[in-house]
Amino acid sequence: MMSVARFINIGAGAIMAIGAYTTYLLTSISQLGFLATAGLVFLTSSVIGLVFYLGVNKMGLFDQPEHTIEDLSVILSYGFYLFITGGLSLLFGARYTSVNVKLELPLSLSFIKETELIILIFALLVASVMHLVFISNNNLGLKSKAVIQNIQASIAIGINTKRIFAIVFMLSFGVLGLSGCLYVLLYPINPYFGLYYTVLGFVAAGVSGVGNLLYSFVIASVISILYSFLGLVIPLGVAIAISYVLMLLILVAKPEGLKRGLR
Amino acid sequence: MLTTSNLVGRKVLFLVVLILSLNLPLLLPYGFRLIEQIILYSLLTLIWAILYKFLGLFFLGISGIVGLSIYLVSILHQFQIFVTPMDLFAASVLIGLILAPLTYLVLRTSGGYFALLTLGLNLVFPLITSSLDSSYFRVSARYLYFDIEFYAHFILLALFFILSFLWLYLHMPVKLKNTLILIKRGKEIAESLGINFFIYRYFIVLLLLIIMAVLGVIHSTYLFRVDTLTIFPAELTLIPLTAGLLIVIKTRGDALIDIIISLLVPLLYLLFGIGVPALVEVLLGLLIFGALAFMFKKMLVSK
Repeated sequence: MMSVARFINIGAGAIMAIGAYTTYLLTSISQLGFLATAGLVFLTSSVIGLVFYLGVNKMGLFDQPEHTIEDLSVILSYGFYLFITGGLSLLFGARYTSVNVKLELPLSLSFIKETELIILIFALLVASVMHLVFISNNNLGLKSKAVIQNIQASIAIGINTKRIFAIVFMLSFGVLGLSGCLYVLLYPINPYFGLYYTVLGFVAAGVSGVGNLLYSFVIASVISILYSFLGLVIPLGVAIAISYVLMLLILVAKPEGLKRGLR
Repeated sequence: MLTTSNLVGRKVLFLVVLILSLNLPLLLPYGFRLIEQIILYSLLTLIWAILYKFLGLFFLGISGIVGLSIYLVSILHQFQIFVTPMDLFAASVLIGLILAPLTYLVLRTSGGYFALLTLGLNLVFPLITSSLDSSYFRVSARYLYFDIEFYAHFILLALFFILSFLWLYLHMPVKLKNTLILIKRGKEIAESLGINFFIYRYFIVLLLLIIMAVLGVIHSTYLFRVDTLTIFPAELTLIPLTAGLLIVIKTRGDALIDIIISLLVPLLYLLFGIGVPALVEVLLGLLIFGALAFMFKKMLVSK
């Protein structure tokens, strides 16, 4: 969203919460397996993404200059975050809730837990799909790259940027919802759990350089591994703080990120 | 005839009356706590509004900075360093020393990145403080004993007067206002007109953040129990943001009305919203959407 649509999404955590609570509702009222639940969560989140995009587009956000879109998107997505987290708090309460999900893998591996394996498979799958859609040289990928580089020039050569944005919003919301669905496999949920991951995502995007999807994925993986190892020797809070300060220092040295993206 | 000096005189008189009336709730039971909180939120609102309206910075780290100040005071108090009113000053200097490099780093960014980085402060500071408490200090909470509430109250009033006056001053055709607006428009424009973009921006933001931290120091003198779960509440960011957005989207009317809004929003929250904070979040979310839709509509009409 940040690279293609210039939409800085502070509300990412709220969409994760939507995914997590949709999983909670689906598993409470039905006997669906995990794959079917994940599919429905992805669909629900994508539809919310499309509705959100249509609403924001109707307001006229994407008719503004690029820097205005970036600035106002922060306010808009923060409003969205507050609306969703507040609404979820009203509906479900702010307490932590555990979700019982029925897993279907008939494996019993000694080196990795079933839930962790599922999360790993999903992460690789999502990264591959995103790569295929936005980076590879197919029709949509080439159009996306053009939009990342320059929106006005893309319009001038006949690319329907609004359609690209709609696809980006649907996919991004869908993937975020899916990540909320995966989150419930590991931890109990509350409406505010996603905020931490929003900042983590921003650290990855900021450090790698906006417009560089593959590098963002690599940096996000490295940061997560770094947290896990640092968490063994120092308190996790301090480890997160150290990585946050490191990111600030990297941005001071290279404000465009470690690797310049397509822009 | 109403000259500029007359106008300024009237506004200052109004401020004095307003500040005097802010002392009235002291006569009521619990009025002291109520008025202290309203002034605190009002000051945070004015700081937020100055940062956004005149520097274009969408600052979201209010609860992080105020909470960090409270935490530092509680540590100083634990080691018996912070015991007298004069130590308010020492604590503020200490926080200023932390904020100076942090402000430099955060100001390397602008727009949405600045907002996200400052939002990160609300997350990182509680994590650091709770980790330190559980692993290094091995305490779950600290207890503060101060007997300087009236002293702190008058410092709050003085700060309220200074910031309110600054807000009124910035709404007059003065050089400082024009300088800030040029800085808001970007480095190239500001420097082409001979303004040192970096120095101005850095020191003004640092000064406002230090005032924010001082508010945290003063706020701590009213607290009894300090633990990391309670000193970083989301309301510290949400209420100033609500009031600030109302001020920013209000395009007509006097700057004095802005000050009244900055007092009324926290009052309404303390009277009605404290029972259901989630409802306040939902309403604020809707308010932001409504405000932006209104702004876009205005932009289209002006085109």
